[in-house]
Amino acid sequence: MTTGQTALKLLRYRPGLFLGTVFFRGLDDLQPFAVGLIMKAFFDALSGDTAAGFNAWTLVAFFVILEFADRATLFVAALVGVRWRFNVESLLRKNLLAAVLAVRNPRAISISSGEVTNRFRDDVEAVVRYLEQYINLWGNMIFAGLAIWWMAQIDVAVTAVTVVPCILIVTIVDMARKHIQRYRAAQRAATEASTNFANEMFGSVLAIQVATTETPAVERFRRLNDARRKSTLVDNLFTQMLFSINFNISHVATGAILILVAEQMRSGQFGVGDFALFTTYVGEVARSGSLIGSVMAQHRRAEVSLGRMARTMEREEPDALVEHGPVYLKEDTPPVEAVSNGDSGHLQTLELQGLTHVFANSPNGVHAIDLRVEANSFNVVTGRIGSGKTTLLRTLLGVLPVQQGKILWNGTEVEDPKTFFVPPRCAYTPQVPRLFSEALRDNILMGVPANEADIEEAVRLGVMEDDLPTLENGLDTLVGPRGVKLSGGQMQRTAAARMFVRRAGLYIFDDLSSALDVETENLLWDRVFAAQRGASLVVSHRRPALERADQIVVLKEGRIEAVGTLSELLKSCEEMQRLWRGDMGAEKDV
Amino acid sequence: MPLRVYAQLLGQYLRPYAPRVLLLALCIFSGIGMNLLNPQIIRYFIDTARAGGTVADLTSAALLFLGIGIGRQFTYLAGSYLGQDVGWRATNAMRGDLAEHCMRLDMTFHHERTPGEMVERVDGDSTALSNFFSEFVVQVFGSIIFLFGVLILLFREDWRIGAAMSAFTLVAFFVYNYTRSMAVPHYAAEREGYSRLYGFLEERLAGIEDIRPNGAVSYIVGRFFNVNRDAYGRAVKSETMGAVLRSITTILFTFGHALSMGMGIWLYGEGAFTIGTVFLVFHYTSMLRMPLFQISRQINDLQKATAGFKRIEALYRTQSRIVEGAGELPDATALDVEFDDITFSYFAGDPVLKNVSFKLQKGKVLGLLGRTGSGKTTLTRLLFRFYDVDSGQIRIGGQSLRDVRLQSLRQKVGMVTQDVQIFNASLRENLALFAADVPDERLLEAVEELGLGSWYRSLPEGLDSIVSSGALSAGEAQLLAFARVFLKDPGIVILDEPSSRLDPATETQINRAVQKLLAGRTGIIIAHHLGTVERVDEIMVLQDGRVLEHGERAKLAADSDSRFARLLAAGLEGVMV
Repeated sequence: MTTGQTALKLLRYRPGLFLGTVFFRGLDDLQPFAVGLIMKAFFDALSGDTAAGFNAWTLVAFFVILEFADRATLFVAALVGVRWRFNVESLLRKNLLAAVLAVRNPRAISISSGEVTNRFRDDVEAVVRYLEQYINLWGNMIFAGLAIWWMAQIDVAVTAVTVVPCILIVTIVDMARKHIQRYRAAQRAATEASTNFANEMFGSVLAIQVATTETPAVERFRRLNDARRKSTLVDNLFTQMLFSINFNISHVATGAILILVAEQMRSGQFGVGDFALFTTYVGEVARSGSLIGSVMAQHRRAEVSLGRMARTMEREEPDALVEHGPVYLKEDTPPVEAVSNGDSGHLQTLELQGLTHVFANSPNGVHAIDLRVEANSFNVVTGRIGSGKTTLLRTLLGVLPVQQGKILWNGTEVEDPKTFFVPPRCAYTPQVPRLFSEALRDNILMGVPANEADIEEAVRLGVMEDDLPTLENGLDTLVGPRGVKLSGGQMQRTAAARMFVRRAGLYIFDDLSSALDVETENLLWDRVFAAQRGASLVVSHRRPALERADQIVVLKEGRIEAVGTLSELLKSCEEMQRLWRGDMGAEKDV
Repeated sequence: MPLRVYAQLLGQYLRPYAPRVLLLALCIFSGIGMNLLNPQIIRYFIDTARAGGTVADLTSAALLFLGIGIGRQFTYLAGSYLGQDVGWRATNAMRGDLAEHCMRLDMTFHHERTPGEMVERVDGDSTALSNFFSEFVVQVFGSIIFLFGVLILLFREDWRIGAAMSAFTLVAFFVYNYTRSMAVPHYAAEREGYSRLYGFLEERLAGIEDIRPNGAVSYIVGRFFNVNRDAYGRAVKSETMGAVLRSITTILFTFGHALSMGMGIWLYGEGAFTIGTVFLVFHYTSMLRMPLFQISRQINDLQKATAGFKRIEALYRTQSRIVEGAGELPDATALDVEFDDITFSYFAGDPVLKNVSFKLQKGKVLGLLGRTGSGKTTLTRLLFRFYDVDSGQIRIGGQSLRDVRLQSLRQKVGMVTQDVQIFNASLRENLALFAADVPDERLLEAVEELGLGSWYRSLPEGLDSIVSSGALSAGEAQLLAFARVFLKDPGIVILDEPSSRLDPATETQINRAVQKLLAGRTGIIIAHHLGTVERVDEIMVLQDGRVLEHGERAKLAADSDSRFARLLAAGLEGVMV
């Protein structure tokens, strides 16, 4: 899909609002034509160059009426225009959001969520600004046509001189458009580098204060800002140069008119009214001409932005970005399609066959993983750091792409894990859960239609019930941005409750216990077992989990080292013995 | 906000760039001169032509007009470049100073603010001020001079047109300002709507891994619609208001033009004006619009900048609650630690530590146990004096923390936290945390010491390789944090839950490194794992902010009534199920 086709699709999104804006803005763009005629008549009447015609006072009245009418037109154009613009912006944002939530590798996003937010702001804006050019284009083109035709009737040669600069501008901007793209990209990259670093720096105050390296850290921030200054200056100088050429070209054209008409004006062939008409039109015609250039420049920018948004959606083409759909600007959002809490997600067997994901720039990953998870079984994945435990879960969930191998659910191959492994088939708690600045209840439910008993049960399974009374408003407590008002353990248990409020065939925990003490963790496993919720796939290296496991998968350097029960593995698997021994010391002393 | 404060700010940050500022002023003023000259040339041209002047005269006037057009192009570009440059240099200096100030504020301050909020204060508010630095003075003075220039030139033509246009300018100025101040709250409300929208998006994007596998994508999109609708309502209101105001000012200028045309008819009829002069007056009237717009805009920007400036001022006024002492800690490898009846609360009335007293001899290692929320982490944070205690005294090496310089204190205490902060920066910067004076050999030594050697050799560019939290496993990050402490060579080492999220095999590897690190140093280790505390000298159990039990590990382990022994037993029970 080319940028042009993409733009067309977007323009067809709210055709009424778009055409309305085009119409009213177009009327406004035509207004200078009438102003020019009035100015000509005014000076003609005053100087007496043309005998018949309106009285100069009448023309002043015409002028006032015309300006009032134009103002009314522009007023309507603004009201229609803002609605059109916001509709299109909303569509882009919504499609981008839905796609990013559905397809993106969350790991890559969470590192640079600020950068991704820029896609929603700056890139959406760049695309809409490009579309706005088409609103201005029509009126301006018609105006330019009329103005040129009228001027040509007065003097063809002089008219030609006013048209040439327009062509010049178009050519210059056209030649320069490649650079606009490059400078803009460089400028944006420099800005992102600076703000991303500032984010990291303020997120790591503790570490930096402990290291007492406040000054050198800020020094880096200063260097990044200086790079940002330089790239902004280059970008701006370039944009300003194009702008000022556009602005000044009408002046130069007026100068050219002066030279050309000197003789005719002396002889009275070219009146003051004609001169007034020419000077009124020439600037506007030049601006109209330059609009073609600016459409081209904006086209390039929009292309860059569309490409960037498409990449953010992990697509080659921006098709999905411009897919039409409701944006609910006036009416309430319809209720969320309920996440089915039925038992269509019942798990008989889950099989992984040769599952592989290797990171591009790191030796870590998982290779050729074969694994079978039975109904209602408890499965623990364990291994050293970097052995690929989390990568395995993420590849299964489609958070990371499956590069080789396949996944079978109840014997049927799963085509797209990232859309398949959702409730009611699966629910998940990541290693470092994220909460949102909403009420605790909304963080747990996230759209699941559940009654109080369901929530209570989920809270109990997550061993969260003792925390509720300590929070100011219990389940209705607002947890603050990213859940900062809760402790690490509370966030982890909230995430567990969020998982358990969903009925699923398979529960996946990535090291749920990392922020829990041994006793709390023991309690949690007790309750999970008692509840008999389905199969579990757990990353853990803690004994309470390992001992309960129907099956332990030992990973080493991204490959399966051994599979079996704890007692089998402790006999046969050296890696398991080593992992187990790591925890052994405390008992040896007793 | 008094102008004096602005002047002071301007002076402080613009002084280093005085030559550039002067050059900038020169560009803008010569631009003004050329703009004022233009209509005069056209008037001369029209009148000379109609009076039958020579073609040579007319042509040279036309050429002068052309020359000015080209000259204006260059002054405009140079002015725009210089303005941006000065603005950026000044605000960058400010961003840096502000960041440094904030980075040194106490943790109570930072706990109340998200990093995003800090970036908004340090970067966003500075950006709003950037226009103030780059344009305000020059634009406002330039516009005022231009305005007066036009009016004086009109008076020169005829006092009646001068007086009429002056009166018009005065009215226009007040209308401009009044209408703009009416619009500003709506513009602010619109921006607020957008910032909520982007804040919403940012937070959700950081949590995709939580949203998608739990089937909440459509729920989040639904929430987006609500936030988006709110922003829409604000945008429509603000745009409507803007359209009303633009109408008022345009209609105002319609009257201005009508006035100049009417005066032209009258004075031309009287013979006071030539036709060229009527043209000139009309032209000058159009030219009044730009400076009026600029002055009003700048005043408005000043209001915008004022909001940002007030916040920046408030930030600068915020002083760390921690008042440093002047003393230095002794330069010994290991230091005593003593807590003397410490009570501490983050929020008044809700103490986290209650009457905690203990003494740890230099070179000894203390294992700290207790449930989540028992105060373990808080206790270790107090050693850095991130917070001041409510009552009691903490002494290191016999000196009260209040008497010691923070720098001296913090260089003597090292810490590995549970969440390791990894910067998207080079390995060198991540190890030394941006300190530039650490020699490579020392960095490499630390890397080898911790068994990160083979990982290091797999990096393509050695110490210059960019590492990011995404590319490191939790364990590698943990080891990197250890390397930071090795480099610091402190007298006291704090390990805050070092074993969480580590598998036992790696933990064994780390334990070896920990032994090296603790050798000859005082240590405090927090852990949920009993395995982690197996080699400590002493054990302290905290419960609800109080010391429940403290003593030699061997003795407590042997005493079957001790809390520690029961904990060990609980661990064993787990194994025997």
